[in-house]
Amino acid sequence: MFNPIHIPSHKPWKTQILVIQALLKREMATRFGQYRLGFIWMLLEPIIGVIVIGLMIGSIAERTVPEIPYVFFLLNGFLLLQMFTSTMNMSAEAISANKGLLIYPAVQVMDPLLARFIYSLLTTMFSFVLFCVISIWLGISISLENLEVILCAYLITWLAGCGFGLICGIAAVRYKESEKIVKVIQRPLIFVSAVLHPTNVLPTEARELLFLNPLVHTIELSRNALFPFYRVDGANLLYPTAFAIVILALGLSYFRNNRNLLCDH
Amino acid sequence: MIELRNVTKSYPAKAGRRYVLRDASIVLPVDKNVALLGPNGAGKSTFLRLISGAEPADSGSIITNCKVSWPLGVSSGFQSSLTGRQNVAFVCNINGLTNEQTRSVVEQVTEFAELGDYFDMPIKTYSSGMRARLGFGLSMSFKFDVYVVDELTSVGDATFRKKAKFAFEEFRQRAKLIFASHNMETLRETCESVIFIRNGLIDYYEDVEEGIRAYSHFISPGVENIFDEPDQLKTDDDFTVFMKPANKAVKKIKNHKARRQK
Repeated sequence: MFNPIHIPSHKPWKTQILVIQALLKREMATRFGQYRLGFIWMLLEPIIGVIVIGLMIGSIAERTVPEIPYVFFLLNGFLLLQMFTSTMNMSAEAISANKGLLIYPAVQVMDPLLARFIYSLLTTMFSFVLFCVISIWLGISISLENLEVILCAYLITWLAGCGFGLICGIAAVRYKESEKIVKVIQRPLIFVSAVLHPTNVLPTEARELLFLNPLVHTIELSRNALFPFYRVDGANLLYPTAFAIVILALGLSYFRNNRNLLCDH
Repeated sequence: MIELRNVTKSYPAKAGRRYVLRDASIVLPVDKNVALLGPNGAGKSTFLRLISGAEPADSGSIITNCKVSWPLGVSSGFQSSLTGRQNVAFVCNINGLTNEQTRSVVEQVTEFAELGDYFDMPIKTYSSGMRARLGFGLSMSFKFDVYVVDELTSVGDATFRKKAKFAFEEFRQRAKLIFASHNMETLRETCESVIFIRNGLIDYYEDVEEGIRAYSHFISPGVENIFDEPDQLKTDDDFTVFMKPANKAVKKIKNHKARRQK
């Protein structure tokens, strides 16, 4: 009845790629598999959120950014913020949700985290491409001349999200409360990240305060690169890059110190 | 051969750190069926996870020169929101099997587990017996030199018991077992040597009776051997004995304690 199959031995990096691929596939299947046109939902999810906000406060808020249709102004910032927060949220549950899989020697503790990081990067990138296509189709002037700035802004935001994701993921295993705290802390993030309005309309003191948030830098710079008529003062890439590196280093060392604890069942 | 060199494994508990192994060195043979004995909470499951590579040790190294299966037990590594078929495919994918091999595995699992429509339903709708059937089928579709089995004393219906018996026989024919159980009759029947684990210590006994005696001495000192009497429970179907929980041994201990208190 049985014709047992030899498990081929692969190099460690090959195994890791196989595991992450399988986890990504499963992530798609569990998140969107039960809906019809699940893939489309994955892309539309952030866009629908933006349209709702746009409809609610758009008519007032668009006076602050006369250069750009407000929904598109909002969408870019929202995408960045969402990539940051979803990376963080998804990894908070990553370890506990995948604990059962650790019985397979091929699966390492880091793999579920990496898979979710990559998943959130991929979905954001897809949404961004969709966003560009829609804007061009509607005849809104966006410029892809400074594409490298946009990519850098997205990548840095993502890396900072990964760093926080690592910290949250491990903290969630160590302290049950941390999951709730993370969600509460995130709430005001949309207001202090200059997602709803440009920084230029604020008084200088408020603007300086706001620029302490590294997300404000990446969001403003990506807008500056994307919309040719949008002006921004005081944003730079260096600060969020340094921030991302520090957070990532902290996250990795936290992971390293707790890696045995994470495998316990 | 599975070799442990100065392995320490502990986990934090409310009342300080609990040690499963403390600087333990031991060589386990893989040409014999090995029984794993130890009181509840001594870390039998953790030990099995260690040697199958599911969990890292705190320090020290574990060296194997053969293919050791993942621990097969009641809590198998399935993802409850995916279907049985998706789970099987997942395990094939992470091990890098070709499409053809994956198809073959799926076929074998389908044939063995006989889950019918449930094979395409999420694991969370399964009963524990069905889950165990799927787990058996899956690990039997792969070739291992040593199968690690963690207490199969779960109760199931007649079909399940038949399946489990079949699986057990298949394992025994094909490879060797490292097998944790509280059922001495089964251990005596199947195993040729014993490892005994408690309080961070681990010992290997070439002789099964010797190992059982040491275990008996540990859980109720001062008595000859609580597992010693020849068993009257044996039926023509040995496997019903195997699947029964170890009530008998527990009863014996209780009786003994009651007697002492008088």
